[in-house]
Amino acid sequence: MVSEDDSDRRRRVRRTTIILATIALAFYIGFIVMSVVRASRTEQHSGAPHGAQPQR
Amino acid sequence: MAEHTHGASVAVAHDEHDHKPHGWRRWVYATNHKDIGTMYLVFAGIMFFIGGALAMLIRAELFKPGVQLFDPAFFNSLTTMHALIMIFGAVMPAWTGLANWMIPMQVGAPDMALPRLNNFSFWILPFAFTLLLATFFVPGGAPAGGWTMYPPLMVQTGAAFPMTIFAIHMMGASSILGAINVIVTIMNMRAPGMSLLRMPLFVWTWLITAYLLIAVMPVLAGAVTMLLTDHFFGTSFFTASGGGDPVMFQHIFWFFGHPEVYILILPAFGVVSEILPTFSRKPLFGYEAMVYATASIAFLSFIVWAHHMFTVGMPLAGQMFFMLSTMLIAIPTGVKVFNWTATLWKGSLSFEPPMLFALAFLFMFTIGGFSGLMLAMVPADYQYQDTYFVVAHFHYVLVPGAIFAIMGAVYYWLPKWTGNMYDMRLAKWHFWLSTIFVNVLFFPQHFLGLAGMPRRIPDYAVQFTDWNMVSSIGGFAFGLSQLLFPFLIWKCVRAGQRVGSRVWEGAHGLEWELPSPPPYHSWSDPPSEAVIARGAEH
Repeated sequence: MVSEDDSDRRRRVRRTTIILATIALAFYIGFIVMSVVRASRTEQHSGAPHGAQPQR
Repeated sequence: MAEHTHGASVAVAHDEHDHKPHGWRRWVYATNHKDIGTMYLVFAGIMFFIGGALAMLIRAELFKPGVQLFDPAFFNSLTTMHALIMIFGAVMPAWTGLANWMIPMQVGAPDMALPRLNNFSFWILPFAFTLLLATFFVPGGAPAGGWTMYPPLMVQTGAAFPMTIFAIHMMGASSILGAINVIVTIMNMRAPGMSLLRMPLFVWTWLITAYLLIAVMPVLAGAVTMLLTDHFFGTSFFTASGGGDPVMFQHIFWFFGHPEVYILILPAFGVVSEILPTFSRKPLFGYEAMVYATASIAFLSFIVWAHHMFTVGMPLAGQMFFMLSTMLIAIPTGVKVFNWTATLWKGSLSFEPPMLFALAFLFMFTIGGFSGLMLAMVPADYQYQDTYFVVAHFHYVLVPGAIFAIMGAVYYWLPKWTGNMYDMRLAKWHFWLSTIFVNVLFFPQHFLGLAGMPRRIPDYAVQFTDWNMVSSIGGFAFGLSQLLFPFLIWKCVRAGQRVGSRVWEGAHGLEWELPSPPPYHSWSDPPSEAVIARGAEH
C-alpha cells in the first residue's frame, strides 16, 4: 500500500533524478559540441581544407 | 531520551524482520545503503593498497640516481596508474562509501533514494578497474601519458588506449550516478524537521560535492571521447597536424580537473567539521559561515582552471585573471581554518584517534594550501611548473588532507558501524607513524622542487640524491605503517569491546541516536522533531 506521501515523494525523486541526469548529459554533449564549433570556426578563419594545417 | 528509546526500539524490532539477504546475494544484489557503503569502503581500501604498492615501486626507483629497476616507459606507466588508481579508485570511492553509510543516517532517511541505481554505481567500479589494471599486460603496456592524459602523448598509447578510455568512462558514469543518488536523497528523503541549515556539515559538503561531480565528470567524459575519436575516427580535435589544438584539451581537462580537487577535499572538510566539535565538546564555530564558505569554494573552483597551465603561453590578462581568482579561494578556505581553530579555542579537548587525524589534517592541509598559493603566482609558477614542488603540494593536500580525513572518519564512525570499539593504543600508533613518515616522505620534495628536480622522471642529477633517499625511506615506512589500518579494523570487527549508541560523549547528530551497530534499515520511522533538534546542536 503506497500512501499519498510516498507517491508524492516518489514523483519528486523521479523528477529530480531526470533533471540531474539531463544536466549531466548536457555538459557531456555541450563540451563536445563546443569543440566541434570551435574547430569549424578555426577552419573557416584559416581557409584551410579539413585536415590541413591552419595558418595563425 | 524517550524519543530516542522509542526510535531505537522500533528500529531494532524492525531489524528482526528485515528480510536481510544472506551469503553472496547480500552483496551482489545489495540495495541497502550500509552494505553498499561497506563495499565501497572495502573496494577503496584494496585500491589504496594497489596504488600504494605502485608508489613504493616509484620510490624504489628514485632511491638512487640512474635507472635502477625499471625501463623509463614503465616508470611513466607507474606514475600514471598510481594517480588514476588513487584518485578514481581509492579516494573517490572512499568518500562515496562514507556518504552511503552516513547520509541516510544523518538526515533521518531509511535508505538512499535510488537503491538499485546505488548497486549499479558500485558494481561498475570493479569492472572499470579490472580493465584499467589489465592494461599492464597488453602490448605497449599501461598508459604512460600521466593522469592528465595530454595529447599528443596519450594518443600514442598502444593497445591500452581504448581500455583506459572505456575504464574512465565507466568510472565517470559510476561517479555521476552516485552523485545523482546523493542529491536526490538529500533533497527528497530528509526527515520532517531536518531543514537544510540543520543538516550536519558532512551532508552539506557532500551535497555541494555531488553538484560538482554532475557538472564536471561529463566534461572529462567529453574530453576523453574526443581523444578516442582523434585516435580511431580521424577527427582532429587535439591533433595539431589536422588543425586541432592540443592546448584546448588542457583547458577542457582542467575545467574538470580543478573542481575534481575539491571533489576530493570538500567531504574532508565535512568530516573535520564533525570530529573537531565532538572532541572539543563545543558546537562548531560559525556553522552557516562554513556552509557558505564550502559553496564559495565550489563556485570558485570553476573559474581557476588555467592556473594549471600558466606556462602554455596565454595572454597576460588571462594569467592575471586566473592568478587572482585562484588567490580568492584562500578567503573561504581561511574562513574554514579560522572556524576550526575557533572551535578548538577554550574547548575541553581530548585526543582520541579521530581527533588526532583531524588535527593533523588541519596543520598539514594548511601546508598544502600555502604551497598552492605559492603556485598560484604566475611569475613564481614559471619556476615551480612541473617540478617536485608541485608533487609535494598536491600530495600534502591529498594524503594528510583527504586520506587522513578518510582515516579520521573511519576511526570516528567505525564503532557506530560495528558496535565494537577498536584498539585505541594501536590506532594511536597508526596515527603517529603515519604523521611522522608522511612528512619524511613529502616535505623533502619541496626542497627537491625548489632546487629544480623535474617530476615524472626515473633518473635525476646526483645533487638530488640525499633528499630522494630521505623521501623514499619515508615512503616505505609510511606504506608499511598503513598495514596497521586493515589489521585494526579486522580486530575491531571480530573482537572489539561493545559500545553504546553515543560512542563519543561530545557527539551530536542523528546517527548517534541509533543503536551501535545500527539496524539494517536505519530510520524506518522518521526521527521525532525533538530528536532532530537535539542532533542539530551545531
